[in-house]
Amino acid sequence: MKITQENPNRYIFRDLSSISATIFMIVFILLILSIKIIFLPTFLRIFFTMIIFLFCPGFIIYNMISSIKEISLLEKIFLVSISNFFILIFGTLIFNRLFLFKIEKNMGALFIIIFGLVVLFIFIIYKLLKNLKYHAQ
Amino acid sequence: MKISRKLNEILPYLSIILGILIYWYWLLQIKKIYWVNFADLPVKIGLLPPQILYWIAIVLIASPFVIFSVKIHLRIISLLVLLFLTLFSFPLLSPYGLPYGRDSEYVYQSTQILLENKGWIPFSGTGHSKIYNNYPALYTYIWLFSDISNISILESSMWAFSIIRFLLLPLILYLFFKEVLETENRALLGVFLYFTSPSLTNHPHHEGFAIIFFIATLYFLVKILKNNLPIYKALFILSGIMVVISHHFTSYLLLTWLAFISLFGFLYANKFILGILTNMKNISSHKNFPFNGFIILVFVMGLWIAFISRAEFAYYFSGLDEAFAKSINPKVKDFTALNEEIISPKILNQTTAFNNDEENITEIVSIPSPIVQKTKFLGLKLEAIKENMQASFDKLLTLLDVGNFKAIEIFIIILSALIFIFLLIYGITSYFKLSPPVMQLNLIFCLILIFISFLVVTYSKYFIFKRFFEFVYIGFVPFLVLAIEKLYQKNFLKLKPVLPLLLLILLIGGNLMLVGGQQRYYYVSEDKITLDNTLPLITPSSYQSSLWVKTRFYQNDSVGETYVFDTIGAFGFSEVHIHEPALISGLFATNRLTERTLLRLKYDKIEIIITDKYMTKYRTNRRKAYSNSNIQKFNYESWLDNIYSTETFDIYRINEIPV
Repeated sequence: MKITQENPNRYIFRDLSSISATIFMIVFILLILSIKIIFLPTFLRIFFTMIIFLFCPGFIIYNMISSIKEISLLEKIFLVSISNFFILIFGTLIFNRLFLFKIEKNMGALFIIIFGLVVLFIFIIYKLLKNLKYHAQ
Repeated sequence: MKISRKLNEILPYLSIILGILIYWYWLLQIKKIYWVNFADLPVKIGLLPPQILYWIAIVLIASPFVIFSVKIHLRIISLLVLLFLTLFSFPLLSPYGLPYGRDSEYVYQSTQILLENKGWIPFSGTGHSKIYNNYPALYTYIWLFSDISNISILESSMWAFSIIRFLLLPLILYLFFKEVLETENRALLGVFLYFTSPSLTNHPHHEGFAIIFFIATLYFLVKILKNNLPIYKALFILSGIMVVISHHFTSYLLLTWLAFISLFGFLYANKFILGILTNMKNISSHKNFPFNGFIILVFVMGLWIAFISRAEFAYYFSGLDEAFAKSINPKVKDFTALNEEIISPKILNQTTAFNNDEENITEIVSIPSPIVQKTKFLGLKLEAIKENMQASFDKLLTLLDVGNFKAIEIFIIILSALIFIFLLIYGITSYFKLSPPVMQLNLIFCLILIFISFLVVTYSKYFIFKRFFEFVYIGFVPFLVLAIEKLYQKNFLKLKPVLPLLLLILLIGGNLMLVGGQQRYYYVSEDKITLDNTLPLITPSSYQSSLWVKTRFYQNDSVGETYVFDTIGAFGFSEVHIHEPALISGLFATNRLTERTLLRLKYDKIEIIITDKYMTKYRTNRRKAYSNSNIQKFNYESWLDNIYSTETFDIYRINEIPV
């Protein structure tokens, strides 16, 4: 995101990525819970699952690359979904092999929620630090 | 005028809707027949609805896409429906909601093992899973899908694979072809042509999963060469690693492919002989080649091979050089006779036939006369290559015969092969020099690949010719697209329907070329069944019997026959050994199962026999068949009556080895 010296406050107002990321994460958690708790038709469950699988927590990557003009929207969507795919499969395997994360019922959904929240937390801290650094200057 | 314009707008919609309805009717009829006849296996092919209904539906759905004058949004809808029916063919067709065929059944077993062991454990599982459990990406995804969606692992193992392929494969193909070919229309045509590939099978298998990331890696490479952004570099490495943990053969091929392209980057970096091979323009883009990323991929793959998948690596590479050497060296029957024949070219043609005898390579090297070596050695090699290619061609023709195709089907296959060759040659001769370096390099590499795979067709272990189309189409399709575009602009043969017809023939020909169907050609007669398409032989009772085997003979040894062994082996978690030696060598990789072990397992340790041809084939190591006193039929389980009543297969416990 290009920051203009003339209006430094503009950066804070325009940079809604942390807020939007938090909202997205809440939506994803609600979707996961709705699949787990509420009775939904199979088609809807599959549809929600794929949205979660392809975009949570990869939507943060979208926030990172959204300002790159060279990448088209379709490409951005693809980059988000394919990188999310890597994150979840690598994450599952690495956490399963190295830590006490067990492959059990509901653990996959829980893993996605925890992993998503951790990534979101890191992202918000990063954004805050960036803002603080800018204003300190 | 207005009415005809309106009609032209409505016709594509009608065509797609009518196609879907016919397809749906055809599918429901199949399911009905299977359910009605589940106790009478294999389902008689004559009972099933005519296959022509399927082809009519496919042609109706694809027609709006192949007619270029139709509006773009309608063409996209047509393509998406076609891709949906193709990519979802496996779960749509499965009549009992069960995975069928070797790969799919063992993918289910691997996912189940992941869940039962509460984690990924390499080398676990039985049969086919032993190899593929070393590649955890696919079944980790299936487990995650199952866990989030609350859908059972049995159903997820069928649907999750198709869903991810439908969402990502056409998209990555579109982006890749758009990057290479520059326009949207060309990219769409590229996606369509890629799906005419004869080796694009749709049942859940590791290669089908890895191909998504294979193309993604190549796509990110092309992006890096154009625009060196860090995000592309990161995703290039991640996609490559994903291929490494998804499938052995695909990862070896990816690394070779990248090495080939990197060679030109190396030449550029060293200001070496540029453009000497292909008159390449803009080779300067190769200065961006991600050498670091490539080295990381090689390193990751090296680690994976060293610690996890050494056996698979050994399987593919032990004997490869020998097979290739045999393919390009002539057979020498009689040393003296050869020397005489070399002097006389007329006789030479009759005696340098190719065969598989192992001793011949050393004989060639030891030809004593230096004059003969210098003058005739290359000629001999060329002659051997020619003979070998003839043998390969004959073998491929034999496959058509084995496939039991009807005359019309063989006609379409040959026609589509000719159209493909014509378009490819036309595309290469017209556009090779004008195309970007990556396109040229991909094409050269794919041509080399297809040539080598054709040379080694006669070696059963390296019969990978059909599998290669899934990969080489990436290099071929851009030139096919350009050729079709040029023909369209030139108004080929002055007839508008010619090009759409050619495209439809390519689509049908590609689908037909899969021997045994493998979930694209759908149901096949008994004599065309392959290990990957055992649809007519699976029933709910075979699944039940597998669970029964699992509870009683978990990971024990048993002997199964023909197509039954995979079902029992995968669902029943049993080490099912098959009798046929050709299938044994195909199933068990390299030194995992030595001949001695196999004999011991097969004849001494086994506890049950699952067979449909009991006692007509199975004999012990003492060459004596089992008699009724040696075995015990499991007839006390009431529900097993279902299995017995099918007369397809039975399960027997072995009480003693006959002497």
